[in-house]
Amino acid sequence: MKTRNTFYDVVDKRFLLGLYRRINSVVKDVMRTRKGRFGLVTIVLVTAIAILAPVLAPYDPASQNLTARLTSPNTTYLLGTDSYGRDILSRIIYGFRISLLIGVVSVGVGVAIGTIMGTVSGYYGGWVDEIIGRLIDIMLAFPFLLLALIIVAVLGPSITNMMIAVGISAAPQFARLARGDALTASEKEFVTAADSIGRSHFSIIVEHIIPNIFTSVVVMATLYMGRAIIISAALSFLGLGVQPPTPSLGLILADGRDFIALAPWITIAPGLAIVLVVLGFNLLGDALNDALDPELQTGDKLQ
Amino acid sequence: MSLLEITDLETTFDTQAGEIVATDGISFELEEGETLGIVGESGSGKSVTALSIMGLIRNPGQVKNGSVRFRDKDLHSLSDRELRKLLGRDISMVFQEASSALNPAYTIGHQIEETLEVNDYKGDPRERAVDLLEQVGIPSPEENLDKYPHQYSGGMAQRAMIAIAISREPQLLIADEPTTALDVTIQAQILELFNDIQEEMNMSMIFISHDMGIIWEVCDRVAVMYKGKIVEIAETEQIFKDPKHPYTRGLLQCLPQVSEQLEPIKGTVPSGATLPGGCTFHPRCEYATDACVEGFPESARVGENHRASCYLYTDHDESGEAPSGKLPQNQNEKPINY
Amino acid sequence: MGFRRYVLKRVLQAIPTIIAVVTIAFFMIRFIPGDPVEIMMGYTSDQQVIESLQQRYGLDQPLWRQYLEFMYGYLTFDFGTSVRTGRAVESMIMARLPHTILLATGGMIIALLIGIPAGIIAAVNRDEMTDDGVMVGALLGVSTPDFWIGLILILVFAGSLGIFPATGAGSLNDPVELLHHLVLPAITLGTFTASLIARLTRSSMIGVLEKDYVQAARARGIGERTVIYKHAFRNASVPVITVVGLYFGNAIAGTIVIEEVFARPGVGRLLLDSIFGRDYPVVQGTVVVIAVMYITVNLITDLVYTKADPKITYEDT
Repeated sequence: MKTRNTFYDVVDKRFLLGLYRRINSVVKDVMRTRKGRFGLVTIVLVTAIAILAPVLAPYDPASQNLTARLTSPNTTYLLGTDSYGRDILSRIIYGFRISLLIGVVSVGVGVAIGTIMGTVSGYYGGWVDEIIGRLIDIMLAFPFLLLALIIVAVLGPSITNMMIAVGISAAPQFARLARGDALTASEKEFVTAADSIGRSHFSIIVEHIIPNIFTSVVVMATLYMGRAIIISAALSFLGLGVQPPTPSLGLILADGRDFIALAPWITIAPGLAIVLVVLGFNLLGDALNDALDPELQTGDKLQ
Repeated sequence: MSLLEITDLETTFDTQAGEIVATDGISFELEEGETLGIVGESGSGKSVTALSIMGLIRNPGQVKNGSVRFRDKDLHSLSDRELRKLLGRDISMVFQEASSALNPAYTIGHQIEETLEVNDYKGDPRERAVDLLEQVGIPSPEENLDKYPHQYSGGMAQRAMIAIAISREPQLLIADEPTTALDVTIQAQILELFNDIQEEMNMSMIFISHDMGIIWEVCDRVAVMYKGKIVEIAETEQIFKDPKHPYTRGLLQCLPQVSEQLEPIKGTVPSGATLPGGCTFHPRCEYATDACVEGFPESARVGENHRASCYLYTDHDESGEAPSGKLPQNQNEKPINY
Repeated sequence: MGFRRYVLKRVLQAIPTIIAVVTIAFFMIRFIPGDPVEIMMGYTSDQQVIESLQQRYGLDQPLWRQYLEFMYGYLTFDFGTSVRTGRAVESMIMARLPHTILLATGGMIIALLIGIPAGIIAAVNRDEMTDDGVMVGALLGVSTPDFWIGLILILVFAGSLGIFPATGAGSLNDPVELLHHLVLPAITLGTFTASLIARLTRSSMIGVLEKDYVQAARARGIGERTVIYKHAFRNASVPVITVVGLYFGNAIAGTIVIEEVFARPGVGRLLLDSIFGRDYPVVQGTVVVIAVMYITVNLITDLVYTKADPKITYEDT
């Protein structure tokens, strides 16, 4: 006999409480390490800058001051101006917004597609697994960057398409991870037990499988934030991502490239800004990895 | 002069739980051609003693005190390079698990030949390797030289390990539980091999084991270790016939032939960071008195070439008379060979 | 099963993947909204030109037929003709391939030359200053966009110091010039991978240095350097080899951006140019070539790995 469960029946208070306790203990472990503290502080800082951009930015990032083109850093323009006379500091501050948005959305897309594919594949097995497995293999036959590039080339260059492209390109990695975890979890007794008392597949997946794959997905998602931000910056730099005049860090670099000898500050500052954001996520990812998997104190998942 | 002279050897390890003293002021001597057994439960510091002698204690461990004299050299005052010159040639070691002590990436032949080469062997290393495998009883040596460790059985791997250790006919061979990982039948064969080699080459051996039965098979003298200290040392027959320290009696009790006379040792070995004060054995000792809780007894002479660290004997003079009243004498004869 | 049969089996296993890659390349341009020829030619062309072009590219044929012809073309090394230049796509790619292979290989060599010793040194000096230094460096290395490193190198070494050229790749007939042009791009490409390799080598070495056979090698009188670089590293290298292949594959893709930064005439830059020029036959060809190189490198790694670890018997895999 199968009973129909609503989402709220499945996700009950106990489950949420357990999840909360788990997250709490992981955060404590992470904060105990130097890496974790530094990573978390960096991310909080960058996020704060991104949220408070309108307050913090001394100028409108798009406003051009044609009389102050290619000004080197001074007291008026702390990081100088670009070839249109736009303030680099303000553009970088807004650039953090775009970078974080791109990171969160594209990794979100990757996690969503990947975990669904992987969980379904690992849980159901059989021909479903066969087909999804082949699909994952084929996607993995393309390097991350090339896959993203192809998808953007097909969809056309824009910030939305780039986020979709980067997300889809990351999906097979998450799918492979989730598939393995789901396979292991589905063989455990509690899943058989839940199945035998007639719980629906959906509720078994949400209640038993998802919590089991949760931690490894979180670690990988954190590490992929950095990668997604770098790849997106590269795509924007190439002209296939964020389009002008939106102030993205990759685009500022692309602008600065033409004036690299004349105005190196346009190139140097946004690069360091990217390093800061990515470093934050990589540090946090490493620390999370160590906290959740003490055997592997290396961050090997970062590839 | 003795071949090897260890004085007050103290080796410690820094751990998160604090400093652990693995060997706590160990002293003994080893004569040429002699085999000394070191016996004790796991965690008693036997293996650390072996590695300390070889100068192979590495971070987070360190030799804090004491000296190791080999012939006329103080091993711990040598540079790493000078020490390595002695290792493999004058002093060599057989490890507990041959299958993990042989490098999985190289053939047995390569590992023997390499050992010969780094130790300035003048002849043809390949020929010598064949001879060695033959000597340790490995069939069709030519063929087996080109095999990798994982293609060897446990017993064969231990034979190969012994072949490497004796390749330069060392004066001192340290064997750390060399038969523990093996089946009983193979164990017997390997022990026989050790006895044969020792006789043939007249080398000195330090033979580490937790098994009194094995000690009986190969050793001339025995040092009993408990928590980093030698609590009793004597000739093998003497130890078996007349064990003085309550802990030694407990170890012998593990042997079926002796067990009827002796009580089993109660409790477990305390971990390094939580050592009890006084005599470290007192919580498990049925003869423990207040004195045992307060201080550690000095090693006292309890017979000819027989010393023990126990308050049961410290009030006794150095006459060599075994004390009588306090501890029941072990009446049985030496155990049957097995 | 012998090693040869194992090689054959693995090669055969790669074929369906390559077919899938070519299939994706075929359908890729069909997903682009609008008519490919119109998009390629812009909207100004008159109907007659479009029709004749459609005929020329076989776009008037039914889809299955186009697919089979496309497949057959790739099987016989005929990748079609470029819309922009009218030249055969395969010869355009072949002319640029050496520069890409040179860059990917150069980057990988630098990555290995820096990454492996750094990882070993960090592992040997575990938890000491040297280790911390290497690990911080490696963390920065994986967090820095490679194209930005390229820009900074151009700024310093091509601009201020003027030691190395900022753009181009040199002539294939002049090895010195090739090498001179290769230095900056190869360092740019290699930094990220070097950092990854350093991290992995370190963790692998730390595991191996605790093994009995390392201690046993010391006990045999073997010098510390030989113990570390021969006995320990030989075993620690096995997991490193597996990922080095993967990294090499990613380095091939990485050349796309680096070639753009240094204006090197490689396959990656050809891909970018043809994407912007809507030269779809060239896009298809370059995508297939880069993907096949990636698959091949991974295949070779897999085979090297089986050779490197004597414990692997081919029956298992």
